[in-house]
Amino acid sequence: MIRFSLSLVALILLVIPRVTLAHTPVSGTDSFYNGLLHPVFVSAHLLLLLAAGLFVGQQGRAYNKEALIPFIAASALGLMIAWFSPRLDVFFLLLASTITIGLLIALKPKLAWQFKVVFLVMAGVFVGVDSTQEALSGLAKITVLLGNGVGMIALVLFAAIVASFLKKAAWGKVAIRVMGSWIAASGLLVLALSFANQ
Amino acid sequence: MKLFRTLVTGLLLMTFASAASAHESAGLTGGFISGFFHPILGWDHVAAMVAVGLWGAFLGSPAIWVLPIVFPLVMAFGGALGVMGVPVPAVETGIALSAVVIGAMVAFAIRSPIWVAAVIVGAFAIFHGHAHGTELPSAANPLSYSVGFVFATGLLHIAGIAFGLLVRWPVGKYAVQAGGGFIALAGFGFLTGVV
Repeated sequence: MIRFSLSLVALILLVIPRVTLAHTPVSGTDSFYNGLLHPVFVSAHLLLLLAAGLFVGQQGRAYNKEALIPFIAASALGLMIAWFSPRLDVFFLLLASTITIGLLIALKPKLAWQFKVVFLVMAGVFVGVDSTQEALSGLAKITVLLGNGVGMIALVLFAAIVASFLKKAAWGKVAIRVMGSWIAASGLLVLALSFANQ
Repeated sequence: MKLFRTLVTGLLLMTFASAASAHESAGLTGGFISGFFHPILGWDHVAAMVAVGLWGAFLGSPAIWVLPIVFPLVMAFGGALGVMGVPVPAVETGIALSAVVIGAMVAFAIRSPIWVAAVIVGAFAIFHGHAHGTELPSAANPLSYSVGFVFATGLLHIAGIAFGLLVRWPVGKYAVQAGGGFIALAGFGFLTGVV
């Protein structure tokens, strides 16, 4: 009864309309929180990180640690590059990674695990590199990038947990693959647009 | 199990959460909402998308998941053609015809091999994708827009699948076939301009 009530409250809170003001920087919030929200509000990052998380969750618990540790290391590397270098144009690489991981989720090919980890590593590096905060410097920049890293890991973990739950049911396994196809399709469309605009 | 149900229900409800205005141009949310409503506000799209899910459920496994995977991927290809300005002849006719053909497949209980179903669905997906893709360049946030319409397409498939699961019951089978017939008739109406 208590759990049902809590669930009901949670559901009500989810549907109550609310205004979310998001910007970088956001007045009233600190640098770390700005960084934490950054991957959520950059759609290319959000899509790739959710794809990476679904992919990790789809593989099963046995591979979770072997996937997440390289991803975290790669994210740290990408953010360090973002700290030291000016903005690099990696949008194409972000989209290509999104499409690839989406297809890997949808088609579930039989590939060596090490090969699959490479894509997760690339996702972490590209999102990290694309998180440059050129307008900031010093402690503020470090704090934002730290928050960014935490946000990236949180998103991947969230998607991985959702996929792990879904995996337990036959329909859930299908749902994961369908979401993978959606992600790949979205990425492919925007990639076509970026080619068309050149 | 209960926690899982709560989590899934919560996640599903989050899809109906109110719009969050983010960034100066509201491009992220505005793009997603425009994309989301693009297939939903076109009855020809709705009919065909529901028909794909319906036919998948009617054919059973593996079609029930193969078709909803094939469709968005091929649709993206069609969308890419639209984005790049590659002309595809008679797009609107193709969209209307998709409702007629797939609806008829369900109405007449045609159980084709999975590869045939995938080819038919894929062929029509090109037309749908092309129609969405031509709108993409003018979208405020193209990635959010494409996520929006892909997501809406998927939800329409799910609606069709949910209805199609009625085939488990004898009466449900007739209801599903009637649904397919209705979609085929609607498609015919779009084709002739009556609807």
